[in-house]
Amino acid sequence: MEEILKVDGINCGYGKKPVLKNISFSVKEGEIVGIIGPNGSGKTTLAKVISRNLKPYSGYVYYKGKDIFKLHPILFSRQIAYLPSDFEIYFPYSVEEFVSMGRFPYTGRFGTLKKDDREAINESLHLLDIFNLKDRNVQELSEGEKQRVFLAQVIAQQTPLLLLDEPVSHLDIGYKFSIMDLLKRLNKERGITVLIILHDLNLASEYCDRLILLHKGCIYKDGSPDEVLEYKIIEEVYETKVLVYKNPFTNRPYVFGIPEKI
Amino acid sequence: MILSIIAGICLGSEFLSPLKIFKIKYLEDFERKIIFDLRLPRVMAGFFTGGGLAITGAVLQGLLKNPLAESYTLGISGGASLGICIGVIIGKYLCIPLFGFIGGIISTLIIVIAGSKKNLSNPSLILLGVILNFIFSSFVLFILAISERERFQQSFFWLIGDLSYFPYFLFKPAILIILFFSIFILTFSRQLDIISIGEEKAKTLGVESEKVKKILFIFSSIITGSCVSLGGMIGFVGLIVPHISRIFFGSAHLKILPVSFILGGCLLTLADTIARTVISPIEIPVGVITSLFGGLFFLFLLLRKKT
Repeated sequence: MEEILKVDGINCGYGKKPVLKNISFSVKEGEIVGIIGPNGSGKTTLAKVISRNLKPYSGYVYYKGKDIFKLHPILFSRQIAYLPSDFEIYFPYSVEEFVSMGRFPYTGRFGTLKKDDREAINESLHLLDIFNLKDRNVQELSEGEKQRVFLAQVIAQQTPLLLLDEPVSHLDIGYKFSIMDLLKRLNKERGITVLIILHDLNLASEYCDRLILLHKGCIYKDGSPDEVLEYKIIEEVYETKVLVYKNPFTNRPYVFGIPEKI
Repeated sequence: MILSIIAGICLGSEFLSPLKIFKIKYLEDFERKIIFDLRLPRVMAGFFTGGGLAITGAVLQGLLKNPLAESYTLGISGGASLGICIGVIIGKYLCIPLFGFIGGIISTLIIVIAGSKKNLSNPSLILLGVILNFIFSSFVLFILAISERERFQQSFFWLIGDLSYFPYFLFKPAILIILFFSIFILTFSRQLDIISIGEEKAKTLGVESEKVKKILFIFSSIITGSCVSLGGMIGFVGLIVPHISRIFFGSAHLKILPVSFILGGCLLTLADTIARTVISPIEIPVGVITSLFGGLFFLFLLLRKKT
């Protein structure tokens, strides 16, 4: 498998306050890589660097060997699609209009939609089960529906790499699994590489080929779910007592939290 | 739109029947004079000022993702009016519009630079704009206070927003500038859509948001400068018209920008007609009308949203 993304010695932060220290890892084509870690460990900051929203103090991010900060904006937007974690909508766009903005990398200045643009939009509306909402005002949707609309926009962008910052945080367990299933399907059928930030360790364990555990701005552990989700590691990084078992159905590690006895 | 323009031409302290305009050949001299020298330029000035203010309002609201943004609340009008005031004092009339642009651009730069250096959130930017407007207004008031008596009323009207005193030589260049830059802004409408859903997204969708933002800010202040040199500080048109357009035409800027321009133009022409006729022969500044109706309309929107 070829290397699609390489993060090389990133140091970065906001103003003078450093957040990430010497982060290096690479992602192979066709992998699903989960980024996990406690609140404030730098997950979102890392996503901001890879999405070109934050320039690092030092270090590089390479997409197929090319420095992403030197790529032309339109070319970059055809390679990596990004879903930020907090996302507010200020104007009453319809769902369809909103998703169609994901086609901007292909449509040119005025956003005129051609046949394949329409197909991509309709397909991703169907994939996320929101085709029936297409004329609704995005602002009036429920949190879960909004999240699916955002994801539909990202998928309509049809990029080889998806960078998703907590795409399922507002969804109920049914939609959580159906979205993760969808990502897995896109990964298997179309070879799309997924770099995904997840809070839910067990979801990360079930769906990711590899996990990168961040702790205080450094990579604490990079490996398979079995290697990373060890009770000793989790207890130290998250500062809580846990028990790790196997999910009897999938044989993947499963982390149980242990409440304090009162 | 046509109706509001016809109304603007016909009504006034001297009433002309709409039928008469279409028989221009048979008009008496004084009537022709009224139409071509007084009414028509004024209606045109009103239309383009209203349109310019409305389109900049729509652009600024999209850029800052804030429904309260417009050139008036962001202090751009204030800067432009201070520039124009200084121009009047110096007395070089040809420089007046230039001073207006410079004033507008300076206040825009203050907002943009302060915004990016201090990392101000968009609501704080609006606050900064309102503060700037106060500061500029106090300078303008100071200049007016020490200026000659007989010009006081004129200048004062202009400060509230008034279409009756604009210097004739400004008319053509201002209208051309408003038209030209408005069309130019239209070519950015899709990028504006994408910036309006968030700059983090914009960067990964191939929009160079920093650059586009700067360009649009500067275009907006140029248009505002022209509008202010024609009509003074007319508030609320830029605030309300984009909201009305969005209610009827959705949010895509390719539709909203031209619709706002036309609607803003009609609204200001109509407001100016009302201002001229309501207690004729005395004319009241059009800014009084726009602020009154604008304020009421906004109140209505606010209350409707709550329930």
